[in-house]
Amino acid sequence: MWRDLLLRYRQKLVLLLVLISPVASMYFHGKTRTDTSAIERTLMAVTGPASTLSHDAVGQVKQLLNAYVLLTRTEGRNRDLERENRILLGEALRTRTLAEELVRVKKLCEFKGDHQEFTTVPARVVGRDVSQVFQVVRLKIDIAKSQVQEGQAVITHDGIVGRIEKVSGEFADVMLVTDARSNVHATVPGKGVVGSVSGKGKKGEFGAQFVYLDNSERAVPLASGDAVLTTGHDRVFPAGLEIGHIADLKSTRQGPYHEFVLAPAVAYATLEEVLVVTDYRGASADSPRAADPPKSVEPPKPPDSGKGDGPQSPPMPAKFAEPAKGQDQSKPGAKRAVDPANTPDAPP
Amino acid sequence: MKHLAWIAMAYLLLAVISPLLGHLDAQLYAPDVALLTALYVGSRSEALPAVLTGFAVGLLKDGFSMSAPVGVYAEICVLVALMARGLQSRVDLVSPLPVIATSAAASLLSSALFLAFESVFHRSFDNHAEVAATALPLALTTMLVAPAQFALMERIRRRFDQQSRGAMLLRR
Repeated sequence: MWRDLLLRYRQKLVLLLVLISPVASMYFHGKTRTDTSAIERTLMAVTGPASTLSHDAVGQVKQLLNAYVLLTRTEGRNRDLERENRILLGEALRTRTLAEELVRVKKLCEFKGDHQEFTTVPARVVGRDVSQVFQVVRLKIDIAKSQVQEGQAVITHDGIVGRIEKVSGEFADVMLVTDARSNVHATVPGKGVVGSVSGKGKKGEFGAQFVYLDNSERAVPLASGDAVLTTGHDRVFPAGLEIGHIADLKSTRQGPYHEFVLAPAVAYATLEEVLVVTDYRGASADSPRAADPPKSVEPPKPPDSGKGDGPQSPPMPAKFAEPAKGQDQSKPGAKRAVDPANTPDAPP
Repeated sequence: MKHLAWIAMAYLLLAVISPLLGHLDAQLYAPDVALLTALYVGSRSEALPAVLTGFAVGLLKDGFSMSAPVGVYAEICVLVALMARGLQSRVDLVSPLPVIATSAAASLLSSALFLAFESVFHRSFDNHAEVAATALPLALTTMLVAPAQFALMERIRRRFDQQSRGAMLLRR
């Protein structure tokens, strides 16, 4: 009978059981307990691994997403930093350029203050000649441009640069002393020799040839590194300015004269600011204009010729003062201290 | 067999949703997949399998839930399955709108039942305000997820129905 009843009401009994058992479980588990029941342990065992697995998986996915998002931010940040770095590098470069310019201008100002005997006008180098033959730079004269004329000397605190070849408004072309057409009267102080320095006219080989008397005629021998200065006799360059120094003692003989290769005192490749000598006291009074270039460079006559019509050499700077021993050799008119440019076979 | 597949699906969804919403700090907006499973099974099955499936899914949710007394969700799911079984002939739980509406109603009912059971059986329960406050967001998220979960379960049902039809043909 029970079996028939169970079979007949099986479905309803199961439904009742399913409805009642959770209530019983709630009643049992709702009480304040300290231990874990068997049902709870079973459920934890069933759901625990899945929770762990999914937690790890979701964590990893989140980590991947975070890493991607962070990487994206890093890329953006990197771009910002690169941009900032470029700006800062540009500013640093500008600052360094300004500092270098300041140093150069300061040296020029000091030089100008030390040389009150001549008047100068500042100018900036704005261009260089692209020719393979000529060594010319272009200047821009910002102030007192009317005073600048052809033939005037262009110098820096390091030495001479060249002479003004053309002037047009605020621009002027300067023939460098390394140009093949350039010829500057020069001397090596303390060595009793005078001569002329002419350019070689080669790009990348800045230098000049120094022609002077035979070695046997010299009381004090020349040495490598000896400074070659202007004499002022050519009426273009003030006396005592450095042209360069003897780079090599090996010389090429041309008759009684020797040609030495000189290293220029001025770095022409990086020339930025220069001074144009518009007037100087060393120029002779009979010259039509103080700094006018001579039509043809007239080398000074030796004093023993008795004429004495050549321009007087201005005093040399103290740093190039001749030693007492060699004073008689350096004096104009000393034994065989004849200007080779004054001789018939002097080079042009 | 398909009931086991639905239970397994609910198990997987419960396992994934809990940590996922935990990581997203959105536990309050977790859709009640167990409830939806019970609702779907109740609307598509006979009374006994629906109730048993609801009970199993509810029990699984009890297992994943760490605070409520074991049996709360089982009882809720059983009741929802029975309710869905009763609605089977009245409401068409196939098209999205009835599914959404019924899911929202079932979710609200579930929250009310949860509050009632907790109040009656859980001695240390005193979070009535929180449960009441989360009832509406829970209903909203559940009703939004309902069409997708119903579609997934429908897919499983069709797969198993095709297999059983094939097996019957083979037997003939």
